[in-house]
Amino acid sequence: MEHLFTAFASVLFPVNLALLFTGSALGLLVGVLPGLSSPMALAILVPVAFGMEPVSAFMVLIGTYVGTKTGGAFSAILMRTPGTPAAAATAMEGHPMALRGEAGRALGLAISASFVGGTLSWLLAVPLVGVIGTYAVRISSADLAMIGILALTAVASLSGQDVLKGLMAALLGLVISTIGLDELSGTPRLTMGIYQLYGGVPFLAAIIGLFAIATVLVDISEVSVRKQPTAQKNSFSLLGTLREMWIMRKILLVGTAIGSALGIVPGVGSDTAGWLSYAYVKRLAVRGLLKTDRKIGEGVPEGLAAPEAANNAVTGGATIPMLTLGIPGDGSTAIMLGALMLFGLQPGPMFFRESPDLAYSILVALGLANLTTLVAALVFIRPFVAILKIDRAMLLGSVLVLALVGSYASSNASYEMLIALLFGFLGYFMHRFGYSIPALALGLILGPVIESNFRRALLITRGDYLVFLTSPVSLVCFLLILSLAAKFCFDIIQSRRRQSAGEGPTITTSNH
Amino acid sequence: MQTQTLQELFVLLVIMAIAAVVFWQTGEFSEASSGQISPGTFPRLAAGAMAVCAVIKAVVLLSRWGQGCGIALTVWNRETLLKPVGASLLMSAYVFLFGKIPFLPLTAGFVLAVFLVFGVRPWRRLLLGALIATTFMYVLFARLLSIAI
Repeated sequence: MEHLFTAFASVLFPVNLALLFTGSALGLLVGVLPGLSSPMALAILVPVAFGMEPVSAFMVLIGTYVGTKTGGAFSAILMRTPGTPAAAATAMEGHPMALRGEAGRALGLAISASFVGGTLSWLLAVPLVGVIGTYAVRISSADLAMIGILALTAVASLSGQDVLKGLMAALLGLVISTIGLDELSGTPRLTMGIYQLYGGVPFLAAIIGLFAIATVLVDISEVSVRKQPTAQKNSFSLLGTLREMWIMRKILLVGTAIGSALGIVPGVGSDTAGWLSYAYVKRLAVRGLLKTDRKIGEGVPEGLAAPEAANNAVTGGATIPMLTLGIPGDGSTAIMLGALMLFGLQPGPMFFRESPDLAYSILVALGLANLTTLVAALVFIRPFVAILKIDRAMLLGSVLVLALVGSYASSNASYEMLIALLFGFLGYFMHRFGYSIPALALGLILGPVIESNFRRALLITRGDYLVFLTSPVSLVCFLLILSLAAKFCFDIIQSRRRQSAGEGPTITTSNH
Repeated sequence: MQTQTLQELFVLLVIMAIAAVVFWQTGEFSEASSGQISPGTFPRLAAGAMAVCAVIKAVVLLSRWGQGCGIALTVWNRETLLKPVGASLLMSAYVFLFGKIPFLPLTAGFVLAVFLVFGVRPWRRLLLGALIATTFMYVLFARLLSIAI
């Protein structure tokens, strides 16, 4: 409790609060602009934040992380083009509302629902982080290795359409993470004699390449020529929005619960949370349980508020494994964990004990970022709507320069620019062929954690592989991995049955 | 559809080749003794699992030969390739020339060329955009962050 109060004092320090607000505004801006994403913004911001004190740096990063979740709703409502994948479900009801002249009301609802979802999930997460953090320090090396493998399997299985491709991407991340000097024996591994690789593949450059350069290369070849009707924003009444929020409180709570629960599961991101809560509202509408005379798809406010609450509530849920176990749930949290490592800190069960000041400050900032995002959204609503008219090609071109110079700035080594470029090409081809980039990034970040705990567990037990099945935590992880594998086999068998029944091959779309 | 399957199979072959390189590169490490596993064990386990996944995927693809690979890939054509290829060449040139040419002229030229390839028009907007972007980079990295560029 004492640490929590100290952290509040630290975050509320004017400079840190200003940085949190700046991060929120920046995140909103990134979220507003289609094509820019949360991992991309964080990857570019890490080298900039690296020059600051760790607490200050994380104020900017966390503000940006939370801000992007809300910002995505702006373009989803006004243009039917979600600024981020998380806001895809928001567009379903938000855009029809905007087209019938209720853009201001829709934006007000989205901003308020985001605040409610994010704040409530944070309030749920704080005591859980405390409880799980207490138990996490007792977790053995074997358990940690199995939790890491489970997280990777979950990300590979749940984040994309093709489980095998997700697994291959995650495993490639693991392989790449082993490049460099082996930390136990000091032997160079997979370095091909290139001495710059002795320190391993620079994580930041790799992340910048995967999330910034690759995204630009993909986006620029897929810039849509089809323009959606852009609605004009009109004003909204704060009091009216609050009244509406109170009326739909049950729906907001359900959205928050869905987002918080899904946030804990690695690989299930904000977009899934948004769609699930939208499905919940849809079901209510079908059963006639919504007090509205409109049909779903015609701009039902509940169908906008629930996904917005859910996609912001994911931030609270994702905080739990990130801070207590060092397990990231998606690309954004992987980058934040990578940033911790760049500051020489070790995320994981001991994080709260070894760096309590920063750990609690991050926890507090995640909650306050919802408030700074709300304020920033209300203050900047007009300029952000105007920014939607910016030339996207110009924006993407600028991101390329920021990415290249940013990768150089982290260590003043031009070789890191080359690494960023190579990972950019890798990410581009992975995207083209439907391989999950977040799975690769999680493999990169979890690789050292899994390997060191895997080897430590075997060293303690003198090479007994059964150690990975004997403790309750490891056993549960193993069973969950098996169930994910069984689900995959079941899906393949079902698909083949459908094929032989004459329904033709299953056509799946890679998430381009 | 068969072209797509061939492209997919080619990617799987690359993945198997990466796994083979990992096995070849880590083959010389000493074997495990009393719980102390070799530095090569973990990369080999990961690469082995990756290769197994690639083989299963290849078998699944080949079993559907002629029926479509089941993956809707974006069509590769001149229009979709022109901008990424142009940007890639420009980025490669930028990385190669970084440090050899002063930051400001190099970045200004790069930004201008990228905007041109990405289709920013008219010329006035192109030049103004390049000027603003270059100035922003210089102020951010050289002045605010004191990076030696």
